[in-house]
Amino acid sequence: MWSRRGAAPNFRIVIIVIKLAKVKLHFGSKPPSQAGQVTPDHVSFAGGCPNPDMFPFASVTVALKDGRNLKIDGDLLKKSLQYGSSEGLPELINWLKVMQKTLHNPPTWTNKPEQGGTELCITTGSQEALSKVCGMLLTNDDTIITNSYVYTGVLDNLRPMGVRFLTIESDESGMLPAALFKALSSFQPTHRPPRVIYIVPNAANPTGVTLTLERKELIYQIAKEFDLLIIEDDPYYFLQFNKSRIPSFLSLDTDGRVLRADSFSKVLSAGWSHSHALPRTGLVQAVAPLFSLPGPSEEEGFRLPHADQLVAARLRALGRFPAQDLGPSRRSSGFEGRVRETRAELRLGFLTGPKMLVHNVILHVQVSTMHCNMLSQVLVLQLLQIWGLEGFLEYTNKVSDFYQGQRDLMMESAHRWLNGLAEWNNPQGGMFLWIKLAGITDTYDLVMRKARDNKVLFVPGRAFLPDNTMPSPYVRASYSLPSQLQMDKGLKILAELLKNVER
Amino acid sequence: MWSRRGAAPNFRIVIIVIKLAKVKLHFGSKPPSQAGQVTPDHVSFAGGCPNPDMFPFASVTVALKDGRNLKIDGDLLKKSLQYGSSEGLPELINWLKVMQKTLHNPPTWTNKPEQGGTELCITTGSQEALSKVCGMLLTNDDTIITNSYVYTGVLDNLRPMGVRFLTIESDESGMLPAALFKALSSFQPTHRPPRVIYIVPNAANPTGVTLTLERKELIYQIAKEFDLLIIEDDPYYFLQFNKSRIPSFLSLDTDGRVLRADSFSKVLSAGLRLGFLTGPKMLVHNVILHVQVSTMHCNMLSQVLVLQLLQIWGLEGFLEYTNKVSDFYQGQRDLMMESAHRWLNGLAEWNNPQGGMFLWIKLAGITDTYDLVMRKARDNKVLFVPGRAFLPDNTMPSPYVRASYSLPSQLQMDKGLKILAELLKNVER
Repeated sequence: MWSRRGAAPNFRIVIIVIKLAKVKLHFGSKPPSQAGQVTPDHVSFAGGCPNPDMFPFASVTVALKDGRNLKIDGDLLKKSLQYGSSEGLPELINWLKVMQKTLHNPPTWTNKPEQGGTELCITTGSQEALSKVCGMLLTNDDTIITNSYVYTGVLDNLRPMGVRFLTIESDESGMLPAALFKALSSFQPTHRPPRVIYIVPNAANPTGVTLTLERKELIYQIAKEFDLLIIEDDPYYFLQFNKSRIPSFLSLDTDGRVLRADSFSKVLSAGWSHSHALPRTGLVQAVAPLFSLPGPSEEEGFRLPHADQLVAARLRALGRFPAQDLGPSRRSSGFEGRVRETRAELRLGFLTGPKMLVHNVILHVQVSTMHCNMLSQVLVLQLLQIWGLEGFLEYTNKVSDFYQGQRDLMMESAHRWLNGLAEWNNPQGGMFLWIKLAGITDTYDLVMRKARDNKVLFVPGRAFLPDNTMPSPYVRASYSLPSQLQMDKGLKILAELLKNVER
Repeated sequence: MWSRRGAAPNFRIVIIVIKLAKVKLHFGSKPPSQAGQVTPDHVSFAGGCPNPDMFPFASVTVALKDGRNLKIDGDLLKKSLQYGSSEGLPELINWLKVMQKTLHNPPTWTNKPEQGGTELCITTGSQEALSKVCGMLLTNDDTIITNSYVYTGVLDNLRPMGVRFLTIESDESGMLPAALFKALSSFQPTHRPPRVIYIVPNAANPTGVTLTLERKELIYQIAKEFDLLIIEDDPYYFLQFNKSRIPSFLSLDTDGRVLRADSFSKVLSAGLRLGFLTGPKMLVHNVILHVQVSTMHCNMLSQVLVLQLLQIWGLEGFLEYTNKVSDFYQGQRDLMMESAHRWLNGLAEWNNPQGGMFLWIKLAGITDTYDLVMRKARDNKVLFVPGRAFLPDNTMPSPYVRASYSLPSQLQMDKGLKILAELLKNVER
């Protein structure tokens, strides 16, 4: 992909990247390091930085549960409190690069950028990475390939953008390669052919499904065949119960077509986040992807794949609110406002992928959040340095063991109460049980009203459909928090509701 | 603006807001509190959240320079590692609302949302607020009104969007209202008329100019006349040398047309990435929605830390502290002005900043400072920013350089400006 240049449809990715590169060169804010290294004998009037002596903090001490302390003071504290570079704290990037090399050994690791060489940057949660990657790669002319059920945080980015979904069947081992191949071979291009596939390979939210290595390899081959980019969203990577951990898409990536989003949210910090599927009224692009339209002309100039543009164009119909133009996929029906998913408080994730693409994400970070907050980065770096990679992996094994224990308890409760009333998966990682309620076409009503009235909360499967007005017989049940008593109590209530349901 | 409905071009903002409102009502996410409170007798399998026992932190202690300590542990630590709504930590929002009411007393404070009532949310730096506000309000059909020189963080958002710039002349007191009026009256709409004006009212980056209250009032009147939204970007608000602080646009905002971005970066910490947006509820709400799908929320640790600090200090203590910070920058400005007089007399002109950290120097006899700054000065180990970097069209020449006096010592100021002076003397004219 990276070595072949041409205008044939299969190489649109190449064209995109070349244009992204051109845009960067044309407009690019110079990365901070190009601003000129400041040494002690330089006099700099250049930086718009505040004076760090004018910050009121003297030190930050973090006590760990294992009894050790992390202390951040002196120069390290100054660093934590001052502006940083958009790609992230260099020492943290380097530590994480060692980790990625050790765990995934990406085939393109040492390639030149033009050959898809790998780069890594820190983001404000992997959510920010996903949001910016989607914005970089997709427009309202595009179709993205996903499973039938998709993480709402990604749906909420894509739907307002007007991106279409090509959903592929899966089974208990993940997406079906045959179905993927068939769908791509027979794709009728009323719009641009799909170029991007989004996959959560381990303990996917909401289905809990883990892709086998065999499936990954087949999917990667198909991605080669159809020249797709792969967004590997892997927040539960360290929550795999099988400690040898299945090799990632990144580890298979001989072509440099994988953008991998990692997260510390499940292992270093807990928290609540919101998964409201709500209209997103604008996405600022630092670099507008210069996707060419099908046809001979590649020199398109700027295009703005802007949700905002879409909205503005529609609103310009004076005196009329064209609600019908917005389409069912553009908005949620609102019930997801009641879904509360949570994400980490440190807001720290990282993106690994082809340098040219990661670089454009960094540019976008530069003009929006500027950088992930320094205190979190320094804190996590300290922690990782104290632990070392081995210590970190030991720790994640403990976390994984905990969730495995929770899964076991949940499966017990499910067997105890739901036999004959429902079917469910056997998660190989993560925190979600995906339950199919027998004889029920759509679980929305049962979950959002009856179950709620009986003080037990699930998420209706429908929330995770690209078109969330469609029915779903599934509910997602997280076993992360409840005790065994609570699991029993909750699933017993569900069982009673199911028995009472009119069929 | 908020009470008049119609389809005339001047009220596009109204239409947009009404439609945004309709969208919200039609599809609306219910605010988190309506999601159904989870009580101890609920069993929740709903949240996709990790188990809080599975993280390694026991407590966070922050020592302040004044000797006091902030400790975050137990339930507060759980809170800082658990709950995060996209609008921000509720206690911090409330504290900041009290501050905004005290400092600005926005006229629309208690208005209903449909009447432009005010709301506040926390953002990952005021940069995030600006980025999302620009994305919300502008398209490549739009023109934004700005000064001639603009903060690069905003240029870098707007230029890739294809937004056009209508730049207005200014003098040492800020944007010239007459020039603004004239430009708007004579605007030839090949595209949509401008609806948004972006202003840094205090110690603007890069010019260091502070808008007088009189100018603000005139500009506000013109904004009324032409139905503009005002983006008030005010990161140097607490760095005004005049401690009585000039009233903000927010304090004049009877119409609910001001979106104000505040920042802690210059007074508490830049690295914590904590800012806040104050403005009409309906517009702030849409920013919150965008935060929700991108960063999710400003990181909780920073929010909790800052909240603790502000609670220990109280508003009075915080303002006392900011006065000290302002005094420091005033001292730096004095030293910088001394050095400038010492070395640059006859070779350059410069402003007298009433706040902030920037000296804006016009190099005599030089059309464009780029070369001098980026090559000659750099080779001589002194760094400035060429004025051109702050022009919407940064290929145009500029005779200015921006010099920050935030960090250098007096010795360094002398050394640096002396080198500049020598370069200027040697320049072929």
